Amino acid sequence: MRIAIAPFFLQSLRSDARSGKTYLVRAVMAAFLLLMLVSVHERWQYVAAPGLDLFSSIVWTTAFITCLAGPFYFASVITEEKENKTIGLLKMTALRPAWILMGKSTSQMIAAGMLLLTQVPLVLLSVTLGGVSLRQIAAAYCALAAHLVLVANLGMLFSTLGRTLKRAVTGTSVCLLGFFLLVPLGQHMLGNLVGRGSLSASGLVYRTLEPLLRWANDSSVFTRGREVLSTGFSGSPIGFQVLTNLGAGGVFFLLAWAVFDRCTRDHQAGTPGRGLLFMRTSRLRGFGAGRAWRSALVWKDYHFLVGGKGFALVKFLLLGALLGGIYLLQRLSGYPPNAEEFGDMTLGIMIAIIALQLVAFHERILGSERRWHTLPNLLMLPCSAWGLVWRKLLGCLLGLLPDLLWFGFGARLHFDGLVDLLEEVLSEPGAWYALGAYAVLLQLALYLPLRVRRGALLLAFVLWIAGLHAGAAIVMSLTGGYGSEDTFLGLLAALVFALAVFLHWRTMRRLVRQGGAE
Amino acid sequence: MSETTPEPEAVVSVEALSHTYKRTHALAGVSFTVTQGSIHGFVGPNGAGKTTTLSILATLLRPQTGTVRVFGHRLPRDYKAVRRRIGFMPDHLGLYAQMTVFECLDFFAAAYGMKARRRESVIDDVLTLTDMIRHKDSLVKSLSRGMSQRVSLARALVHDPDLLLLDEPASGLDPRARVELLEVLRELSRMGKTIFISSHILGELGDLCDHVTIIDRGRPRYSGTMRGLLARRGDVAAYVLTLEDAVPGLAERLAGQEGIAGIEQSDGEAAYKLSFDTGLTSANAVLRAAMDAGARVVSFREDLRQLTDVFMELTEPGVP
Repeated sequence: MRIAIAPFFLQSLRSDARSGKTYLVRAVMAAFLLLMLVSVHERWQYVAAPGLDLFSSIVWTTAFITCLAGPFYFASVITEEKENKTIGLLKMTALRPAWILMGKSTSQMIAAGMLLLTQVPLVLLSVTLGGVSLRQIAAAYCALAAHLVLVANLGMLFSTLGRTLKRAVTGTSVCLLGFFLLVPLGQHMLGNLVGRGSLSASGLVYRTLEPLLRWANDSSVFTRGREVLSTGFSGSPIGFQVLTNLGAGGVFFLLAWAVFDRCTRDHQAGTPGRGLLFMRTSRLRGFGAGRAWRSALVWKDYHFLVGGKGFALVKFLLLGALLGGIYLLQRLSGYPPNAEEFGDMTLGIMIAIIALQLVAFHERILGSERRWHTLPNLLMLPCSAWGLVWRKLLGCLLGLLPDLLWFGFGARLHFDGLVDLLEEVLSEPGAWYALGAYAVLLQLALYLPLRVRRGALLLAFVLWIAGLHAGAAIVMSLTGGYGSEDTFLGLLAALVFALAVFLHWRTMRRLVRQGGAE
Repeated sequence: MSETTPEPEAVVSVEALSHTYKRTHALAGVSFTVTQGSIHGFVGPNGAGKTTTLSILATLLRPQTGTVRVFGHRLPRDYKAVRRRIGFMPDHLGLYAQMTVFECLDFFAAAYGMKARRRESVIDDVLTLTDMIRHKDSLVKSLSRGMSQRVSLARALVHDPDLLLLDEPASGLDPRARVELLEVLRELSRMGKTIFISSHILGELGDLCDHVTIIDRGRPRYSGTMRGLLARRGDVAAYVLTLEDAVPGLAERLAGQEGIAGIEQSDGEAAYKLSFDTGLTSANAVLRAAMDAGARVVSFREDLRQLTDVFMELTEPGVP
């Protein structure tokens, strides 16, 4: 075992020590903790237990970051080897599959654990600040460590199963999202059904589902966090959540081990798939890519980046099922929405989904070409870098047609709601600021794949959030807190729009030079 | 009135080209000219600056110092005009793995503004030329390395470029695939294309190229005709004569010819390695003498091992 883990661990240590990113991430973490400390200091007089306040902020943020960044970080364990075509070489060594899995995941878990350790000195300050005990700190870090093990092993399972990093990240994220959202929702629904008498509390369904959902809910780091961070916590540092998370981590590891050989045999693993695009020799060639359009880049990205007609149909049906499901849940809860309410809700959901997809599309426009090593051939086409990006974006926007249909459905149900929303956007400086900030996020998602090969989307979100906070602080310090809120937001809006334009210009400049660097 | 042969037009003209990556000098004062219709080899050891030069010619990198003209257009200023007339095959191929061969070529042809009806016939033509027509509907990711190289070449040809820039097109190919690829390139040359091909093996290009530029550690070592390169070996030429059957006494008879410096017969084989003084005799005269002696000649070609010797002389040992 020692022999198995050593090469991976030493390699990971070496590459971490050499990489500037490692120090940057730790510096960002330290800066983030200091920011929290400053924030607590500002609110010193209004908070009863500043130590607990600081500690809670750190614990919740760490738990959220683990959920958000974990899939990107841990799901690359095996897919990275698949995409680099080195998995076969790894299997040819004397290392057994279990050793490979353990060696790769342990080194990543230790690297992630180091980030938790960097928090400890500052976290101990919260004891001095008051309101938190050492027992709470120990319990919280046990919970976070167990949660880390769970996410790492889940990521490793999907990394083994998935052919590409994208699939592995999606699988891990969907599982985590399902666990943290569906379990509380299920409990809520079950309680409502029993409360309304639709379901008997002594019936088999309730008696089966209730303990299962309670057990799942108690296994959540967020449930455990609430328990640990409550005033007067005196429980054991090793709670039920710690045991179940470690157990589940072990099960995921065993599953990854069981499927490792089968899932790493395919020599085409790591190459992008066609999704729902049928070949022109297939009977369902109507759902294929067909002939290239006159605007070839639009055709390519519509079909090979966002899935084409087949995926559009599936997405349309899935979105319909989601909206229908929400309507049904609300009816079951005893509060059926009227047409206007449902229209507003549909508009809100679709705006959120479209906004998220646009960010993902921006990342993939150039990121996918870099990952597939096709950027030089694309840059050789007789069009400018600007034209290239916009044509590709147009192809991706065609993939939003199903979303826009449902958006139109929401607008049809409550047209006034849409008009109100537009009026608000046009008249409120805050809305302009939000739009500008979103434009910055889009440009970051477009630009960063040209600088980093992996994790560009996550980095974009992190930089965006950090940048927004820093920008607001700078503008506030420059204006000295004088002037109205509208002036402040107007200044911020101008700043973020200027930043978005600058980032777009940087992307175009970088893109022109990237072809020769590939 | 005397007729003069017009000078072939310079398709590529590079003068004093230099390029630096941070502190590494990739190119330092490289100059060469590629004439129309030629097959120009661009040879150098690994890290010599071949890919950097090709990237600049392909308009993917901006030249830092020096002048680069392609079809008379100065780079990077007139890059759009150049892109339409060149086909670039990078060393990592750059094909869309999830597309079929047809979809991939159809996409690139459409991106170059070709009409749908014409695209179909052009794709068939380039796939026939590269012998990949049977794999038209295969997924790119299902192809072998050799097949992918052919598809990549077809992609570079799909918009009918006048100049082909090929970055180590034969690397990673088995001997048969290599020979077949070089045959395709000869065919393209016969069709009037100018070919600029890079390789780190001079011998590989000896049979194919009429011009060659040798580069090492970013510095040019030789640029000119292949024959001129061989002439650097002095007045002694080396040839390999292969016969259908060994002819008894042939070696002795040829050795008696004027100008023959050495002759060596492979044990039990009908192949002779000859070296002769080009000031006293010629390849034609040697071949005539062999045929007069009753030899049935299969091939009579320059010994490419000599090119390897030249390459070793021109380049420095060790890793740059």
